[in-house]
Amino acid sequence: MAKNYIRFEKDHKIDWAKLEFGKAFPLGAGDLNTREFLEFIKAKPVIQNNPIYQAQELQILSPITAPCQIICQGANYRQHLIESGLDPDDKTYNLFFTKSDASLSSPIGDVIRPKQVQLLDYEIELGLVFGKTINNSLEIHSGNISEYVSALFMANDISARDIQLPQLQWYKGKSYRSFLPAGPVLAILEEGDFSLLESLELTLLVNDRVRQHDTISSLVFSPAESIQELSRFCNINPGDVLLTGTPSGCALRAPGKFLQKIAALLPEKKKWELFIKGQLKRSDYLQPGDKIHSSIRTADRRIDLGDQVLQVVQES
Amino acid sequence: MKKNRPPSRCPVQADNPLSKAKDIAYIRLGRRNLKSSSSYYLDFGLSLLEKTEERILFHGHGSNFPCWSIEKNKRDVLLGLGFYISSKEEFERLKGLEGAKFFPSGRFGDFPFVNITDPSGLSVDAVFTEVFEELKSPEISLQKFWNAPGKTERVNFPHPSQSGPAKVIRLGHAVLLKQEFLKNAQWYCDTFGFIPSDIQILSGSKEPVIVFLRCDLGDKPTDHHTIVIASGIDDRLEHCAFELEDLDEVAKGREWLLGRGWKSAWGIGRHLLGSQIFDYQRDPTGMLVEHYSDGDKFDDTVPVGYHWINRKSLYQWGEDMPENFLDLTLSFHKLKELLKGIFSGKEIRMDTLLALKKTMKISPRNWIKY
Repeated sequence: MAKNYIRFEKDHKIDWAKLEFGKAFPLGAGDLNTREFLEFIKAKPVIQNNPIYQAQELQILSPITAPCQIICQGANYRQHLIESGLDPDDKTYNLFFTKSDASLSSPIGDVIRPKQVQLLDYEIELGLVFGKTINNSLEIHSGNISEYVSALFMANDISARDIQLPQLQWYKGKSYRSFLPAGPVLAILEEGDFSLLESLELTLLVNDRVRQHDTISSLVFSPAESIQELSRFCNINPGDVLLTGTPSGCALRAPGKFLQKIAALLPEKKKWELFIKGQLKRSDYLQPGDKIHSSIRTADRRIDLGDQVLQVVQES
Repeated sequence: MKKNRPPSRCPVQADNPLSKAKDIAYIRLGRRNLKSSSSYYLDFGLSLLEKTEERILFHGHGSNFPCWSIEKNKRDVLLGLGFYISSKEEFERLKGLEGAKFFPSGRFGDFPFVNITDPSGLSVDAVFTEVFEELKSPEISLQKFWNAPGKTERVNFPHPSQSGPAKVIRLGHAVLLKQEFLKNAQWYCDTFGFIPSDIQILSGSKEPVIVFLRCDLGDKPTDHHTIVIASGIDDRLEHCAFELEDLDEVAKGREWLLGRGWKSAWGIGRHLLGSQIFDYQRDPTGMLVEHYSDGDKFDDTVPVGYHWINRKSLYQWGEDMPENFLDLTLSFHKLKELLKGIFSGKEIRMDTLLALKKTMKISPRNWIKY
């Protein structure tokens, strides 16, 4: 069963702790980055007699640290494809993009809405942490994937849709500071944990209303398929991460097929003006003051990636 | 009926609840036939405390205070329930609620109580006792010896199983169906400090339809759920569950009830949410009652789990759920209650109820074909 760790700050010192039944057992590892921590934990450290904390007493930090490479998958859940205006049966390619590691932020804190952004969206995702260098083409399957993936974590791929789509700026639209709350938990996988992945349930609530909920079993491209494909064009180092895509239920809704056909006839500028106008009518986009609450766990809680609690604030 | 409206809010833990219930105290049931109920619940494993023409009181082995009251009534119906409160200050706050009635001399004993009504109109007692812990007098035997690989406890000594009713230790929880799900669920959180353990939602609309609520005892562990609120066509008690010592007792209880000619409803199995080993029976009125053991215990730190609702989400293993276990038929009585609810202006989400019914019909195991 996966073991849970958190990265935290207490009395101006950063450390890692093992998390068990709501209690945090500090490891005295110091301010290690994610890659260093993966190595540290591989050496099976003995937990010292440090004071034990309730998780609430600590300032929880992202267990994913910069610098690192953040690779993301788009439209990797069937229903989300439909909502994004794509045909799931046409889905013959795996969509990859990246985020800046400047977007990494605490899982318990603020999401800052930049001044120029109106269409702020949320995307809960399961994140995989690589534990081994990949620098050539690989055959990945259920038998060897655990060599390459060391840990799991929860991510929110916050997106500025009015930058991402009209400006064709995926990198910018998804990379503002605080656009990647990660954690709270880094779940270090053990033998057999990959078989539990399918029953992981992802849930995201905005102001206590369930907006997104699905299980990992609904992924269009499995982690093994995706990593195999990544290895064809990408070098990966320990501590790098892959966000596996988000289920349906984001604020973004593609206009219907008919409207899309008409829009295709319009000049580019007019088309996106209409798009933004249409999306602004939707009440689902994040507003300052909104509370986002998300969790990823199995129903029997064998794997539990903790709870993210975020508040949307306006950039001043 | 509006389609595609945004889902309602999920019930949430209250920041400042009026009180923090320690546990469920009792259930009061109205019954037309006291005699059949009396013989049934003795076979079920409850102990008789008091019997009059008008009322029968039962208790479990864990406490001498009654947990089950069968009261003479024109209809077979839930009359009310009670929760234990042990803080004087909280009790005073409940007294101050609009419509609250204070009874200094107690309902079944000397414990004073405040009677209030939940949003569905159900009578709820807050029973005040400063000595809540002392109420529990567990004469739990647990003198059983179990062999396991690497652990031999019994040598030259077969495992004798005694025949008889299961030994009910205590009333564990009650599942209440409500026409107005959120209003009722949030009321129990706000009034008695309940914490949601798990919430089940519909797969299409993501509408919450079931919440498992546990008591807030701080860092002290408590049952995964003490009450469950579920979306229903009418307001009623779906079932009550009683805790037994172990799996052996659950099986023994089942054997005894079947031998006495009573009807099994579903069992034996293990639940998914709450993990209890369960066995469901039907009392003479057809109401479900459950024997369980080995349920999860949570303290106040465990966060909510969110899950789809379907038959599969009800059990990890066990006998296939009988097709008629969940009462999905629309009887004349239920229809009448539904119309009554609609005409009295209740916020009844018909689309939710219809979707729930459809979801619950989906076969839980791919090898079961109903």
